[in-house]
This record gives sequence, structure tokens and C-alpha cells, in this order.
Amino acid sequence: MIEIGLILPGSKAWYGAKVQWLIPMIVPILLSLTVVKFMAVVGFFMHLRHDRGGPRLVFFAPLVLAFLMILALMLLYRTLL
Amino acid sequence: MSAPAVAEHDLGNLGYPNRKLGFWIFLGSECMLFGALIGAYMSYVGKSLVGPYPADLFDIGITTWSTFTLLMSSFTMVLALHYVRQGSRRLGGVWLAATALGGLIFLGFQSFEFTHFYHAGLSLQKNLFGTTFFVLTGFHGAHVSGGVLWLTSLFVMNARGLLGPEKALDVEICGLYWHFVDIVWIVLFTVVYLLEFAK
Repeated sequence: MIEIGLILPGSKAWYGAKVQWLIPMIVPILLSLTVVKFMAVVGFFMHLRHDRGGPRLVFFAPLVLAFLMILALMLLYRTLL
Repeated sequence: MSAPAVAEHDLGNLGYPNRKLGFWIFLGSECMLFGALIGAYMSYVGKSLVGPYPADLFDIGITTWSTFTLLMSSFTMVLALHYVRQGSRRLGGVWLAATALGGLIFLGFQSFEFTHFYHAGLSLQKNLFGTTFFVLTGFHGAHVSGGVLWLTSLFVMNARGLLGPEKALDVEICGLYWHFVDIVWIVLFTVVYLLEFAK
């Protein structure tokens, strides 16, 4: 978008301001999209929305366990938290 | 997409295909494997004593393109399964090939990235970042390679007329694997690249 601002001199300042506003938002937006994509793939593409009971349990239980393990390691090593 | 109909002999005592349930258990164990690798990577983030460091090497643009390719291949996998279920041999083959191609492009990007990082001085032995990064993303790349081989074998089966609606469960299980590889990359892209970009 910075390049667009350079090509269109009249709007350079406007685009510059827009980019400055966007930069702190990029990561939260991408993180949100990541969560949405994750849920869409697991729930719909992998059909877990339709598969009740067993399949959900054998996938989500290790998934939660893995997440807790990562969290525990990050706390133990004091990284990013 | 509705839940697929499966042949009666495929159903186990739980009223669910045994092979599919077994594969979900396998994917659960894969969650633990990648959990351990991601945990190791996160434990050592920012603790390398010598360079090169992530900020010196990462090119978020290139990785975003490779991520886009892999995520789109998840969509083509859905189309492949849809057309195999419908009995369309030609379209089933096209989308299976497209999915494998997406995986190959992703692997090409990864090879380029690994080579670039190696020439920039990063290796498995160089520092904590090199060790954890190469092991984590390398394991994922190996999984993608396995998926591409699997898809290629399904493509060949389809070309020989051995893959019809009655064999849709084979494609569905391959699809589960491919979607899993896809969501693992979503997590890796976030924790390895995006969090570095956010600093």
C-alpha cells in the first residue's frame, strides 16, 4: 500500500496514514483469521461438526493436551508470557 | 457438506467407520507430536546466543505466499472428494492433481527457504533457533511430502478407474490427513512467523 501512495502523489499522505493505522492491526487480524480458518477446517472440511462422540473426543482431547503442554513449557521457560 | 454415506461393511460397532476412527486416533497422536515440537520451539524463542536470528532471515512475504498455496490446496481437496463421491473420474482426478500440485509448490517454497537460511549461516547445529526451527518445519515438510505421495497414488488409482464413489472413504481419509497438515501449518505460521513479525 505504501507503493500505491507513491504512485498516486496526491493521496500519498492519506495512504501513509492508513498504513500507519493498519500496522498494529495486522497481527491481531491475522491471528483472528487463523482461529477462524482453524475452526472452519476442523469443523467443516474435516466433518467434525457432523461426527459426534468418539471422533471428537479422540481428536480434541490430545489437541487440548498438546495446547496445555505448550503453555506449560512456555511458563516453565518464561518465554513470551 | 453433509456427512458421507459409507458402505455397511465399513461401519464398526460404534456405527462409525473403523478406518476413519483409527485415523482420528492417529491424528490425535500427531497433535501430541507437533505439540511437543512447537513446545520445544516456543521454549527456546529468543534464547539463541549467536546469530543468525529470526529477524535476520524471515521473509514474511514469501512465507505468506506458500501459506496461501497450502491453504488453497485444502479447498481443492474438498472439491476432489466431492467429485469422487459423485463418480466424476475426470474432475476427481483434476482436483486431486491440483491438491498434490499445491503441496509440491509449498515444498518448493520450503526448499528455497531452507537453502536461503543455510547460505545465510543457519544450520541445525548453529544455535537454538536453527535446531528448533529446522526440526519443527522439517517435520511438517515431511508430512506434506507424505501427503503428496498419498495424493499421487490416489490420482493414479483414479486414472486407472480404481477410484469410484464406493472408494470415497479412501479419499476422505486422505483428505483428513491433508486438512490436518493444513491446520498444523496455520499454527506454525502463527507461532513461528507471525509472532516474530509482531515483535
